[in-house]
Amino acid sequence: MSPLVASIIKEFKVLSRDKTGLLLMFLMPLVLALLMTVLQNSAFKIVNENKVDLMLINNDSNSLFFQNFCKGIEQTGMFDLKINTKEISSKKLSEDKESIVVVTIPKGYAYTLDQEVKAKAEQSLQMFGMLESVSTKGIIGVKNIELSFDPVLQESYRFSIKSTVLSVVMAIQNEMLLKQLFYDVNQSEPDSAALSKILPKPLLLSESLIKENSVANPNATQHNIPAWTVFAMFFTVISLGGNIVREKRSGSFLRIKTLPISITQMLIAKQVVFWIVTVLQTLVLFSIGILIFPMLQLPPLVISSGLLPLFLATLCCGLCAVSFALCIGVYSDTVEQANGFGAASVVILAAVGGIFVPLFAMPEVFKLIANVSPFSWAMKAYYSAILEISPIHKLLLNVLPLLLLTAILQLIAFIGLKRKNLL
Amino acid sequence: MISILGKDASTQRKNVNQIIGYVPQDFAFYEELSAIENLIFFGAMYGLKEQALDNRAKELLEEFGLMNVAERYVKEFSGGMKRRLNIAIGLLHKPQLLILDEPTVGVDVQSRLAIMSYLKKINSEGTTIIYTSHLLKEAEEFCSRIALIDKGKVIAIDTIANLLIQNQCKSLEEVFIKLTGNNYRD
Repeated sequence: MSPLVASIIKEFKVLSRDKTGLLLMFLMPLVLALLMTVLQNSAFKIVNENKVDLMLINNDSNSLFFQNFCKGIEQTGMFDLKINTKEISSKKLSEDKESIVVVTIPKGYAYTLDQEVKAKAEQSLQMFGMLESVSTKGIIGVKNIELSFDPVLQESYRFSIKSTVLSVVMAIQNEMLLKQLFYDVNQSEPDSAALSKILPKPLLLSESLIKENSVANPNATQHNIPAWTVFAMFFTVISLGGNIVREKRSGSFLRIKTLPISITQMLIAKQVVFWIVTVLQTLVLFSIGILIFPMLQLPPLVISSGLLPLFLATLCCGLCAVSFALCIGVYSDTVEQANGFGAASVVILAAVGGIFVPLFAMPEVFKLIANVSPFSWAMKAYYSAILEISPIHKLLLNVLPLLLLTAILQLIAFIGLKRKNLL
Repeated sequence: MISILGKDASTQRKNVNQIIGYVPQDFAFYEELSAIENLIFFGAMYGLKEQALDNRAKELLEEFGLMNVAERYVKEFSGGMKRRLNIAIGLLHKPQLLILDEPTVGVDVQSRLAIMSYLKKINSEGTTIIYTSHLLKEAEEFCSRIALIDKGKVIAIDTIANLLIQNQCKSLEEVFIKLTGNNYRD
């Protein structure tokens, strides 16, 4: 058995008997990924999903306006419509967890709207000189359609919803006004086919992405599974960093220095083992995202670009995480130092790098600051592997900073080992 | 140039390491592994092949009274058992030169006797032993030549008989006190 193989087997045995370390490396990220996905799922839905859950409460009669309004709302394609025709209390309304927009049509709204339209039609005919006097008066104090929003909705999003609902009401009003004018002039109902021909059609807008190569935003699962996988990879600092410090302090390093092998071989063995651990972490977390999350009513994890880019991203992130742990282990004098500094630095880098709050939801300043954290590069690599079908060379561009940092960390560790006379 | 058994220590490090055995004062092994696993690992580091390594590991376990606990995790061992294993690891490759750093510190009487007896045996078989200790009586019994070190410097080096005669003392402890004084040495 070669020394390298013997070292790898030894490291595996040592690691497999470290129950706390294994729990930290596998169970903790799993719990965090599950918990954060459940918590963030609704928030991600609001930002990403095309359809907003809208509850329509109709306190009025089942009028033509109500029918047209429902049809108009559905045609916008923006809402998932849920209709409630019963009076509903505000308490019950606040208990409704699914709808983030509630539209309430007040009692008598259709009638007042009808009267308003009739009055406007007569006023228009009088202005055109086709009618001498106006007989219908608009109703003073017309009740408004009420819009209630979930507090989590951003102002710009509320404005967009308000505009959409208003445009539906305006379209119905316009149609009603045109019909009323036709009736007032001809004293007969217009033919609906003919009427639809003269109604102005909405101008179509063509849309495209400003940045051709931009990546779509992830959903809660697509963010949290890679995020906590990367977190778990870097959290191996607790096991690997501590392991190195223990060996330094116990004299094992000194004994190994007197063996006819290079201490570098032993360090390579440690890194290989923990590198394999990072791959296993990815395998476990991604499998849970693909197989278990859908069973828990959470969005399933879909890997758009296939397994090769994912594997490459994992190898690069894992190598960077292991190099980081090596550095911490080499420079720490006590296990407490390695654990304390290691854990604190991982949490800070994770916060800055978009693990807790995704990069796309960060303010612009923080997006810039995020570039200093390897977590943000790791997340970009995973996003590109999960969210888009991209060529390998594009992924390689994303992992290049990680590989560069890996080389720097290895160099720093080497200098540390030399300085401490351990090589 | 520092030469060890005819090999240049700076240019032939690998060859030198192959012929020396080092037993540090600290327990330099893996507590999460069993005694046999530790021996197999360190034996592989010395380049011992599988069957030979297995035989040698069992031989040392037997010699140091650890055969019945060979499969137990070392973290469950007593201080004496750990000390014996620590020495056994340094002897795996049958070194020509064995360096021991306080090998009997904190061990029970039986373990100490077993350790010293084995060291005397391999010494008589041709292994050179460099043995550091604060237990000067033990050194007096065990060593043929003594180097007294104070504050990192060798202050006397000779056979025990010569040291006693030159310093007109009855014991090595007296020689040491005479040469270094009564003040604490730390």
